[in-house]
Amino acid sequence: MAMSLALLIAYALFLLPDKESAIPVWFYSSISFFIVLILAYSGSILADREKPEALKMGVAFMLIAVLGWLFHRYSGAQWHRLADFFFNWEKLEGNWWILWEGLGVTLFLAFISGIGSVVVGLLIAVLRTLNSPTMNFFLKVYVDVFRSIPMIVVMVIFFFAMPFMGISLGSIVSTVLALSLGYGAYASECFRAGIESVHSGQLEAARSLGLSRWKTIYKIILPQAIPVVIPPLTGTLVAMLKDTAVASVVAAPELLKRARELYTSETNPTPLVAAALIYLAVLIPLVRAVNMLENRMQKKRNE
Amino acid sequence: MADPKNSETATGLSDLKDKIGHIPIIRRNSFVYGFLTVLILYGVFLLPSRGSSGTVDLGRIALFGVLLLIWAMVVFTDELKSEKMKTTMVFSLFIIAGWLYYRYSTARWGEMGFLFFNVEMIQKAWPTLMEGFWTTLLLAVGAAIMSTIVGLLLAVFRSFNNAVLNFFIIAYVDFFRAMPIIVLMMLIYYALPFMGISLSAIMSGILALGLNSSAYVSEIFRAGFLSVKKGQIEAANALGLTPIQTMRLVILPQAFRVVIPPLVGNYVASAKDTALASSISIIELLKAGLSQKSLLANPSPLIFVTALYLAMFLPLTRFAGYLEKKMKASQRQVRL
Amino acid sequence: MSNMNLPETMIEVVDLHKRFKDLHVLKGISTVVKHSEVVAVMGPSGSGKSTFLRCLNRLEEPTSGRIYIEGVDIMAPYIDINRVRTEIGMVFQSFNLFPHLTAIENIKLAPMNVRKISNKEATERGMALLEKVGLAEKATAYPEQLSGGQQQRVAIARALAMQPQIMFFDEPTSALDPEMIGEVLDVMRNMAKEGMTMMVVSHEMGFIREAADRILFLADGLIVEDGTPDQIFNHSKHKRTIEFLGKIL
Ligand SMILES: Nc1ncnc2c1ncn2[C@@H]1O[C@H](COP(=O)(O)OP(=O)(O)OP(=O)(O)O)[C@@H](O)[C@H]1O
Ligand SMILES: [Mg+2]
Repeated sequence: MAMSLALLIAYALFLLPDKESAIPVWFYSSISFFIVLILAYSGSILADREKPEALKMGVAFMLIAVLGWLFHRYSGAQWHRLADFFFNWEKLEGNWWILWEGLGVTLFLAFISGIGSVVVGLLIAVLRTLNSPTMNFFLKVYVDVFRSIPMIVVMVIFFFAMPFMGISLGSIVSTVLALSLGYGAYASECFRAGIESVHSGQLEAARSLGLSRWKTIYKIILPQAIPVVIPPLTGTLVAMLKDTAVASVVAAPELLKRARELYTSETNPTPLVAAALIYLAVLIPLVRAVNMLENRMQKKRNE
Repeated sequence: MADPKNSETATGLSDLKDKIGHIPIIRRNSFVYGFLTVLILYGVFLLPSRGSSGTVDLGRIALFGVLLLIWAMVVFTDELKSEKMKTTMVFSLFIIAGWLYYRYSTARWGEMGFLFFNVEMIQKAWPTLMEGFWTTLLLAVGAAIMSTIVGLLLAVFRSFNNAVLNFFIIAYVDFFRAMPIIVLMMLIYYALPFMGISLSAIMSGILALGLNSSAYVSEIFRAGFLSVKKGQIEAANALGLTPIQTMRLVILPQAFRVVIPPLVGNYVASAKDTALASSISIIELLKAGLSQKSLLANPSPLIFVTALYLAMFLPLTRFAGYLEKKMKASQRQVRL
Repeated sequence: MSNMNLPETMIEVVDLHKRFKDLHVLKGISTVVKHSEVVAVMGPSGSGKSTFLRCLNRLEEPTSGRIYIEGVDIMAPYIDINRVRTEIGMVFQSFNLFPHLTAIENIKLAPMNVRKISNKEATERGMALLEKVGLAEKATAYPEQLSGGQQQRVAIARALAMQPQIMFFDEPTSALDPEMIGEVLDVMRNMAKEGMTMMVVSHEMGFIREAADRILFLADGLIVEDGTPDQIFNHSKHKRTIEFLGKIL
């Protein structure tokens, strides 16, 4: 162990190329090989049950430090510029409201499209329970098409191609429509999985009591399906919230778009960084929540 | 309980005949045909003429549409109506909707073919579109390779259960799962150069897609590792296998089977996300279509690109869905 | 025991066929069930017993044939099948209680939503029925908190809450632990005594011998034998019947 460590250090000292090494092939392969070695070394220690916990901690810290050092040394990053260009909050002075307005539009888009996609998804899923082959064919085509075309393409079509057909929707409506229709397709799959999770005996029991189809769906199937649907549906809606950023492409004045405008006018990327931080602040809790819901569901299923 | 002779609660036998055999009006065939007649009369006499656009006229058209939908719903939600009737219904709906649109929209119908399905324009745009296609492929493959390597490494190191590493890995995964890809692309392409890291557009695209995808891939592999039962590892230990051998011979082969379906799904999703790279001026498929649209002042290339996306991703999406279904089915079999 | 003198016919089945794609499950079943009659349906697995019952309230759509309930042709196009089903209670092998509702809510659901009676009346009626099946104290329990036998008794109460003219039972006791079978059969026995028209798919010989007026013996989608329990159990001349009875005894 100690030997390999010594070898690694020797490698780091003598064989790693300079910052501006002449031969790129040597430059990249040497660094890559070093990374492989360091990963293998730390991995073999971490995986060993016999090794003491303290050593493992040390190795973990060393690994992080070495990777950080490599990045620092070779990325060519000029760290002193970080404060000037990435976290230069002065540039945003008096302009924060623009970002907040953008965030407002983002949340508005997400809210309306969220409602839209849940409505579309539920409608499709319920219509599919009617089991009419003709209808199912068309519904399946709809779902497949919208799951196959990238969301940005749908938005672009609505925004750039529809006007040629005499339908000018504007950026907000294009976005809401694209997101609702597209994520409606995903949502319908969530609902369908939930509905299918309800045992067919439930349906038979309800029908044999004389409940109509609608009453059966409304009173028996949905109450049992909804808890199953919630985790994947939340995941879909969070993904949709993330995708509202794509609306900047069709000039919807949401957060990313506003940040880019500021970035251009200030010739400073701080607004972009700020927008990214706002996205993270909103989305990380949501992503974690989705994770938690899914884990809980998984546990319940395994019981 | 139902005692036919002397119970007040029981329904009298003679009532039964009255009760059975009366379906609500809305469920009768005569209602369907009656409604149809009304609709036709409405269509002939009450629909405004072409080109009119007063509020009243718009209202009339809207009402017609609503009535049409109600009629269709009545038929569709009735399980006792024959499938033939429903099929006819769907097609007639499409025809009527198309006709309504044709009649009242301001679209220039004569130019439809010229505008949207213009072969000549597509031919002109063809070289650019093909280049775009190869770029899309490059982005997709690059991101897939990168995310597999990084994701697998992350998952392996996560499985060591080291508090320090886990902190960083979880932060990494949360960060890239929460960050919209398009924002990440712009950060990498527009912001990083300001601190001296200049990457080409393609590299930025691959990096952004790869970083995003790697977060998901690592979670997928982690779930795969976790799916291998503890007993398996204990059994491997009991056999005297080293940790590396355990990983290679016991855990990985089992995990891979669980991992493949979501992994394929993830690659497909990531390949679809390559279209986002159009926003950082990479001439991939979508950008090629858009630029040709502007250049030729004709949306045909865009329509063609959409069709191409559909042709590529419809089978892939279905395939991913099929794999997932198969896995679920086999799991169910095991449980039974 | 039920009153055999009632002349009226409750159910009449004429040449009932059912196919699932290539599989011909029911190959022409004709029979008559009289008022207050208790008919047991027996037969080997896969012979179509469940399919037969399910066709009678059109949970399964028959391929051809006629079914008359109280002289009304329920296959006629103008028939509202939901109305017909309110007159036929059905009890399943797997109980099929609604897991998101308590016992009393399970019972109240259909009367309130189909018969449109008030919550108060439905509750009263439901409690009376729970009392009858011996589960009054379990009214607010959820299905998962009940034993199999208790669940099945609630399921029976739920079917009875619609005050049906006919009750169908599809192997009501075969998913139950032996010590719980008795409590369910007791409830059914009482119903038979009170004059309910019943069709019971079951292989509980004791119950059938005691409570059934007739046995239909199904094999390969046909009624092979039709007679009183005594005739079938003790004097059967059909090879299939004897073979089958030999197996389950
Ligand atoms: N929905 C269906 N689709 C296709 N085949 C079916 C369906 N339901 C039942 N069958 C088939 O019909 C035949 C009769 O089934 P049925 O359930 O009526 O038999 P059973 O007499 O009730 O048997 P058991 O005693 O096992 O309950 C079986 O071969 C079964 O596989
Ligand atoms: Mg059966």
